[in-house]
Amino acid sequence: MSATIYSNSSFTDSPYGLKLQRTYTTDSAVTDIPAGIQRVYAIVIGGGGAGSTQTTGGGGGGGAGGYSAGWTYVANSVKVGTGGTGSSTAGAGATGGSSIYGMVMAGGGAGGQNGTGGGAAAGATTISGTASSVSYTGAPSASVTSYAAGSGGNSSYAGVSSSAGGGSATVTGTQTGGNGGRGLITGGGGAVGTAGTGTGGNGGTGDFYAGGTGSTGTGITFGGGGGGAGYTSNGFPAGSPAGTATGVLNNGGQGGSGGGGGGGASTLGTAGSGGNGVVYLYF
Amino acid sequence: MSNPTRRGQIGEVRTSMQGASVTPFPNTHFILPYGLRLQQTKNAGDTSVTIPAGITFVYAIAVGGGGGQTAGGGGGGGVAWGWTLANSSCVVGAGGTGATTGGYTRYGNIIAGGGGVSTTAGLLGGGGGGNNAAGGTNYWGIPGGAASSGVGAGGGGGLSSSTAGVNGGNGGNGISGGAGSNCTASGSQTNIGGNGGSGLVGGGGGGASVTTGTRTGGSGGNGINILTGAPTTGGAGSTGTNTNGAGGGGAGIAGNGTAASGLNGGAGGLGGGGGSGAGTGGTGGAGGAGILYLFY
Repeated sequence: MSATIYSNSSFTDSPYGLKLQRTYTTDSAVTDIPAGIQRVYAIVIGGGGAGSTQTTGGGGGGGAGGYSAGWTYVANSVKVGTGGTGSSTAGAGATGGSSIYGMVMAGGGAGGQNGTGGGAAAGATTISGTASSVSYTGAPSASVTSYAAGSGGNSSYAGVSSSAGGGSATVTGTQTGGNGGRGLITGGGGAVGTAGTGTGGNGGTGDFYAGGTGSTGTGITFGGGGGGAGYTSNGFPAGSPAGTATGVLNNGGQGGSGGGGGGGASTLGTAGSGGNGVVYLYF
Repeated sequence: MSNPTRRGQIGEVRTSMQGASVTPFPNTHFILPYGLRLQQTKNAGDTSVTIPAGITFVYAIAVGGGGGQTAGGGGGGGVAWGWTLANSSCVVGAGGTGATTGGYTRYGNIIAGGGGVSTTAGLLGGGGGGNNAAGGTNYWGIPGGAASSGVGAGGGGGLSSSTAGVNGGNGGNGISGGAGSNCTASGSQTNIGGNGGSGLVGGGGGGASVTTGTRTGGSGGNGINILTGAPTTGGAGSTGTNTNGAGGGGAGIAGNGTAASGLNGGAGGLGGGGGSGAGTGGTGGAGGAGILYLFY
């Protein structure tokens, strides 16, 4: 063994001074890491969960994808999780996909629940329940504020990855959906479907980007929830379940790219899809 | 692609950021983390951060707010540390007031929870509240202490007592101390509240009440100023016959807890110190505010 630790950059545990060298938004082969680079610092973000829709009333938003960061040995491929796809079929929203590079991995956020509850944010592994998963650092799974925040049912919690806002099952009167929680990456807003005035919840406010706004109006053709802020873009407003405006405002909004959770939809509208994950390599 | 001098390697004192004439070891900027310089301190309510161009990664130490309390003490705020990408926003938690938990503190992906109150467990490394609540597992997965004074990342809160001759339980030690618990036994005996647990952040002391005899509130747990290595101290509880009995505030990572004043509990110190329990009819001490240190 001839390596000298202090003159070999592969042996330091500090990422200070590293530069972003590679960005991956889809599954890819990784064949161009320069010779001599044995370890890289990876930031890995899972896909966001999709919102849910319900036959009557509003569904919950989808939870944010997980965020993991750390050193890994160079790998020859990268997996990037897609966001859960929003649906117009009543039931729970689809979970996001996991992202993995080497030994750094992050899970996909939970879809909105089959009901009004919002989805939990993911830690290191993909989830589908109301509790988050353990984070890459070991921070605990939780149903409250945490590194990866658990679902609060009809409310949301903050975290590095936040949980989604819940919807409302009440079909008369003025109703308001829950907003996604505050975070680095955020969950989507919950939806409402009411004969009265309905206002869908906003996607959570992110550190770098904003959540999409929920829609407001009278009747069940309004009340979709906005998509959560991703790590690399804003969440989309209600009515844009796949990132393009449909003009149908009981649809949810897509989560921002980089793990934002999708917004919930009401009354069999199309729920917002989660934002796709992303992987960054620094060296 | 090798860049061995840009990464703040262990064993290396970088001079490129502060000029080659600096004398490192008498300078407290060099204590933690080794070789990096404390550049910014953020307090509760701050929301924005300006990082110079070219700084990609920042080392953050985040401390959540201490729990506030009314009878038993409040747990110390959690502590989290590590590297994160530079970010223009932050959240710094306030200390709890009344019987509310402390707020969380987050910068990028570094997040620490607030101290617990009463039967509420501490979050993300926060100490448990002073009525038999567990401490929180922290950012790095270090388990929290069990209820009834368990040691952990967040120490467990002490067990409260309503039995004559049995004092309120002390908070568990840890990175962040659990809260001491209250003692509410009736009679004319001496009641003593539990002391807060110690660590980098101290838990608040529990109150003593009800008895017509002597009431002695528990002391706040002690902490450590991580920038200087100097201890921070918890406040003393108050003592009296058929009066007083409030607990002292726990020490924060950046300030001492205050002593009880009559029936009123002492406040937790800056940097997550746990609030304290009150005597009969008094007001519990507020938790200390959280704090955020940024090194680069």
